[in-house]
Amino acid sequence: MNADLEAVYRENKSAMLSVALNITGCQSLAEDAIQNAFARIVHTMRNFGDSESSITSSQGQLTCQPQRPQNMKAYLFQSVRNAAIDIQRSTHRNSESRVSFFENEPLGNDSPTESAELNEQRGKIRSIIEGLAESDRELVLLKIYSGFTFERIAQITQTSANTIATRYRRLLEKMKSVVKEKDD
Amino acid sequence: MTDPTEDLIEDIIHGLPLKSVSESCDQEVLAAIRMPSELCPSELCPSELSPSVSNEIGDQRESLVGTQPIDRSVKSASKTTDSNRGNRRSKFGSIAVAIAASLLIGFIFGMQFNGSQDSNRTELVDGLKNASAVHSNTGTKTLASTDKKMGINPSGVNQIELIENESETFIVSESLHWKNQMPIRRVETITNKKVLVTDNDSEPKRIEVPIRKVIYTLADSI
Repeated sequence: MNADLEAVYRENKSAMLSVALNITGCQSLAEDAIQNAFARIVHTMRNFGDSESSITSSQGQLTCQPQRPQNMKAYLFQSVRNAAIDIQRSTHRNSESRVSFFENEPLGNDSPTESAELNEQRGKIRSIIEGLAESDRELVLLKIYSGFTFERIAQITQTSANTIATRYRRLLEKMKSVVKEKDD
Repeated sequence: MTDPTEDLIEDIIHGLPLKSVSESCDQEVLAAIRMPSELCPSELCPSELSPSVSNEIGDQRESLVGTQPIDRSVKSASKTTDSNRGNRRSKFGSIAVAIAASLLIGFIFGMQFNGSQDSNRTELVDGLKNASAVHSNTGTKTLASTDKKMGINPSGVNQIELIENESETFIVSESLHWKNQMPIRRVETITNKKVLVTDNDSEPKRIEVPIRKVIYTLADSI
């Protein structure tokens, strides 16, 4: 179980940090959120039971046993997200001074001309993403970087899947204009 | 059918590099994942999730009528929730005053008219109806009554035996709280306990009383 957890963490740690960073706006707080979430998860996972019911009643005695998550990756993202929200609430950090979750260094394995064009497009799309509302930025992270379905994103963010799909469609429409301008 | 422009946009976004987790954070998370269960930090262990409740329970174990006031156990439970504290306190305060008044009146009448054991038993049942039992995931339990707090002596009754196997529990409410970044589930139940009341002069009688219980456990969903 811990090996699975570690594998999911290694594969998604940057995306998880970005989700937390999108909420807290501060790298150290985002890392705190990840640490808190994993400390909690590791402890909770040790108590996972095999039965489906979490609360059973027997002779007036109630016992509670945590259930094994169906989707570990979604469970981790949701935990990190909740931990980040907790930290954000407790610190009351000003959202205007937030740090971007993108690295500053541009990529560049292409030819100089292609790289310049690509970087321009990337720059424009990056500015669009950074100018989005927090929930829309989170949607981009969860959909594109983490590869979640709309249903799973809806589960993580506690929103309806239709709302998520509509919002994502609008985001792509907004970004299409940037790419089309370039093509024209 | 997918739009190639949308695919291109997703490719461009995917090409934007995200910030990385710092090495120290990375090491700490991996250490937590690899940590053996026996090295679980004490602050994360279930018994420490609601220490105020556990300590109170430890003190009150196996105690029956007349050992602990109701509002103490309720207050200790509410320390872990931080929510509706004022409302709950005022609610139980008003209930306690009402109980005190009713029991006192009953007691005075019982003394004045040289009342029988039945009147004393009625007072006792009134007290028990508002008794509070607090359970935890450690398995300790207690049953507390208001009579000592209120200064009411259930004279004539010298033993109350809790009959565990004859009970029916209803979940009244479930809620999620946070303590030390841990999700704590609070389950409040009403259990119709049957108790065996024995007094000095009459046969033991079984009385059914509703008892409120609050259970704190580590929540599975976050």
